[in-house]
Amino acid sequence: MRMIVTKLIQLVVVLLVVSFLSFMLINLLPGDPAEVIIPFGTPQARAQLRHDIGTDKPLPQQYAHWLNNVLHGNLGQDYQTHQQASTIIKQALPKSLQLLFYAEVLALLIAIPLGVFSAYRAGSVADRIANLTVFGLLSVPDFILLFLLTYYLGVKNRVFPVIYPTNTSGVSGWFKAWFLPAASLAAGQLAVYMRLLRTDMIATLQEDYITMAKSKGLTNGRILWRHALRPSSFSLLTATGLSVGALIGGAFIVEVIYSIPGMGLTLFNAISQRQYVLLQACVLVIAVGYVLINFVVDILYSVLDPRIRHARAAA
Amino acid sequence: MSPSLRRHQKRPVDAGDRFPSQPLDAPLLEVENVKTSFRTERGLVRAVDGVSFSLERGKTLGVVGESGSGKTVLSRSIMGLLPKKNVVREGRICFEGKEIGDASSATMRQLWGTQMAMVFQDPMTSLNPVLKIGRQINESLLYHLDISRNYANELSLALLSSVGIPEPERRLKEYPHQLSGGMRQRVMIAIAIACGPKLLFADEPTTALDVTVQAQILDLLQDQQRERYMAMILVTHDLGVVAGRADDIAVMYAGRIVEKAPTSVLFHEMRHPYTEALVRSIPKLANPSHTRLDMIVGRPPDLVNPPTGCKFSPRCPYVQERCRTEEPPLLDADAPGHSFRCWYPVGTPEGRAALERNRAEGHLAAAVTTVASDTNGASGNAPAAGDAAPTTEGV
Amino acid sequence: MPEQPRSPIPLEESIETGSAPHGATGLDPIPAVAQAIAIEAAPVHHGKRKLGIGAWISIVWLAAITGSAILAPILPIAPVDARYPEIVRKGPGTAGHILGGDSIGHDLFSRLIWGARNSLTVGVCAVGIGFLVGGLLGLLAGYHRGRFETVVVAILDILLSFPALVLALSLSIFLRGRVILGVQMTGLMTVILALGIIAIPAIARIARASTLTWSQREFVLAARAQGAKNRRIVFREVLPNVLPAMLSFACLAVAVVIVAEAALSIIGAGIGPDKATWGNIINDGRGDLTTGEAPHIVFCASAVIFLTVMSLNYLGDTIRQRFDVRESAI
Repeated sequence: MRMIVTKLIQLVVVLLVVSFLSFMLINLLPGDPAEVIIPFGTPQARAQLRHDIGTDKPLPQQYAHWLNNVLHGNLGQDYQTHQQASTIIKQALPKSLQLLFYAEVLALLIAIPLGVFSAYRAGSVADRIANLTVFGLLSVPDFILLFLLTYYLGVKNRVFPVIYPTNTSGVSGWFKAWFLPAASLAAGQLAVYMRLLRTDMIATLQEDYITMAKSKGLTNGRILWRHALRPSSFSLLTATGLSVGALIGGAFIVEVIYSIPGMGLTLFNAISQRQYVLLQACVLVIAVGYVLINFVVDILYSVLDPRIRHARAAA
Repeated sequence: MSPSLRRHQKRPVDAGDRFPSQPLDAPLLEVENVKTSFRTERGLVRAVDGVSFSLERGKTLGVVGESGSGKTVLSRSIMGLLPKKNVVREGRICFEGKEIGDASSATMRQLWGTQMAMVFQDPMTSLNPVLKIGRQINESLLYHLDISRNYANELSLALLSSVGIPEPERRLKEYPHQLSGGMRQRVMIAIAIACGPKLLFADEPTTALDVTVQAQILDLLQDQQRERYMAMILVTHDLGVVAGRADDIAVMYAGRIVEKAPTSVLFHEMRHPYTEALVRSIPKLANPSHTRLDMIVGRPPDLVNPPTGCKFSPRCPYVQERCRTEEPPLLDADAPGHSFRCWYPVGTPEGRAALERNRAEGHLAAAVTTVASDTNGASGNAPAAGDAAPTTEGV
Repeated sequence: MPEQPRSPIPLEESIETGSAPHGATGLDPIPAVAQAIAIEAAPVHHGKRKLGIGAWISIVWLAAITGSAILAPILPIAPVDARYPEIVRKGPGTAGHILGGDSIGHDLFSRLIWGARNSLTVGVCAVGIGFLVGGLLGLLAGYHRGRFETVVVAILDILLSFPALVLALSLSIFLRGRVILGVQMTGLMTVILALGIIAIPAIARIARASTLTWSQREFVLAARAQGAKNRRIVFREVLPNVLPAMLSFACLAVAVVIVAEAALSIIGAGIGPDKATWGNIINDGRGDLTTGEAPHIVFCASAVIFLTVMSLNYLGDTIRQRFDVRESAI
């Protein structure tokens, strides 16, 4: 229990710092924020804006005001389109989450059996081929893979759409619509996961308790999945959590290329159209999401490994 | 995926499927000229080099030797638990009259757990850290016997109480790290005996434990063995452990049995100088405090390039020219069931003469030395875990 | 898992329990002897292993790409901005233009080599900045510990809690065109600085972790005991040992930065839309890929990026393995 409280306090501190940095984003811009935000506005509009975002007040007060708004779900308003940033993000965020989820599940679905099998048959021809393939995948940037997949599966064989379709029908339509971007994102993750799991699994398979399980007369399949997988999956779990961050970066460019109206594309548009309030909101949401995911991974970690759970409880 | 991975369903054991039982008077286990070697970068390591013995039902064989003498490899060879890769194995192993020396893993799987089982050295590393105790016990019950989960749980409970674990209900729901070392070893014994094996291997079952609980665990093993009429192979580096518990003792050195005898015969009429040295290194209560304990100088032979002749000759106080060139065969002694490998056996005129000769020449005065030991035990003669590094303190 | 230290048991008691105590040197001959054989029987690793074919291919490719990037102005290739209307969207094998042309008639081969010049410059310089700042921070934090370390680690954690590419994009937009230390930031400098800053936290983390292990080694303690100055210990004793691990990481980092640069170019935040970079070539060829008209533009640039990244990864892996061997052989 104390462990969770300590973790929660840490979480709050990190969130405060992250939000402060996001807040400072506009203040870090060269020149007067009012001019940056409304490059072509009238002096009255700028004065109104200064009052709105409070740049005429001292910085801590501005931050407190902004943070209060954020906590009430008000991420600010864009001064060109007069749209609420929170409205835009509410539409964009689910798209990005779907993409991340699809990619992660795809990566894990392939990486776990492959990693287990490779470790089980370590050194065999099949293992070597798997390792080589995976090493190759590790060196293909996701956007390049997206181009390749788009060309072969979208342009030459019209299996999947070459660009994100605005409306999809049914479950299979959903799977089809997201497949190319999700697969390009998953490939790199898959490689990382498979290598991690394989290494840990090989170490686990040399443990005494595996020989013990064998001496109980269990089948290899049972030993691999019931006895060896869980103790081997801690690095995998950590990597899955951490990689969500990497995926957000990758998803960003994949979204832009594939025209998925998610956080990445929103962020991209915000930057290119100089909608700084929206940009700030996007950065805040992404960073907070990232921190929260890492927090969850940390907690999950102790659930998976009873040793850590009890050690922490005892501490 | 390979077919062995896919086979997943429960395997109910009916009478026909079971390993056929032999007449009860035949030996349970016969081992003949078993050799096991490991391919390493340095060459072939001959860990077990021609071991033969037989074991009756319900009897205990103590296998004693230094680490590296091949005793652990021997027990794992018999049980077929060694990896296939880089392991060379020869010789005949008969379990209940059936040759199992080159049986496939699938065949051995029918024996493992139900016919033979093993108690491993270190209960800390041999129990799966992420599975609850109950799960680890009833797993093999559910797998091998066609019983319901409830009944398996009941059996697990009964097993835990029979190995002397207090509050078994609570323990079933705990993880291995929540138990003490002695408790863990009890759990391990419960797992090993769960499906009623006929043969139990105990591979240094007490080495990783506190001295205070070692005797309890050994007693438990002995009780269970008698109760269930199991045969047991008790592997240890400590003659003291097998002294009162084994029916027969085999002393191993450099991968072979150098002396084999019924326990009382071995202690009173030992013939091999290595056995003698081992017996001398047991501290005795009768000795006054601060008595110097004998130790064996030198180090065990390199198993890649073993010495010619008798493998013990470089460290033997009785050594003669013949020992260095010609390896002694296993010779029969006077007592039935007693055999040894030595040209100049301890306690015979030849042996005494050889020792006298060496003493006179003086060149082996160092071969048997004594070292001071603080028998009060105050200066850290703490047992190290297993074969871990010896502490540098103490002398 | 931490094992409880075992308490010494009086010998008499241990005899009553039926077994001799063991472990302490001299009391029982067996474990000591066992130890000796265990060491002897352990497989011997030889630190020196020949480079495999993969490593050689990587080295040759990297040497070729670096060499041609450096020599681009004097190589007999088409000028970087020359356009040949006759080769627009022509595939590889066009006479006089080995890889054909891009969508506006640049010679693709020449464009790729000039692109290597920019991409490699960004990769090496950004990682250089990352190492200079991050490496130093990590080294000092790992060596001096204390409050300095706490502050550095906290800052690194915060920096790492922003997705790198998003941070790079923001930085590249905010830095562009500003005057820093009296220098007007060009597109190239902006991207280098942005990616260099992104590289700092990861490099600092590795440097710190590596320093932590090395600064507890005996020779460092010995140097300290001899009264060596901290600066001397850090740079003469610790740094040379930290470097091999860092070198391996540097290879990987250059690969990551090259990809990031391409990504920035593709989303229009690179060193400039008209400049020859691998990312720009891909970006310019995107349209021709989706129409299926001239996929070779994206494919050629992708292949070059892939080979470079793969070579750097492979080399990094090889260095790390060698380094590991040296570690485990002790």
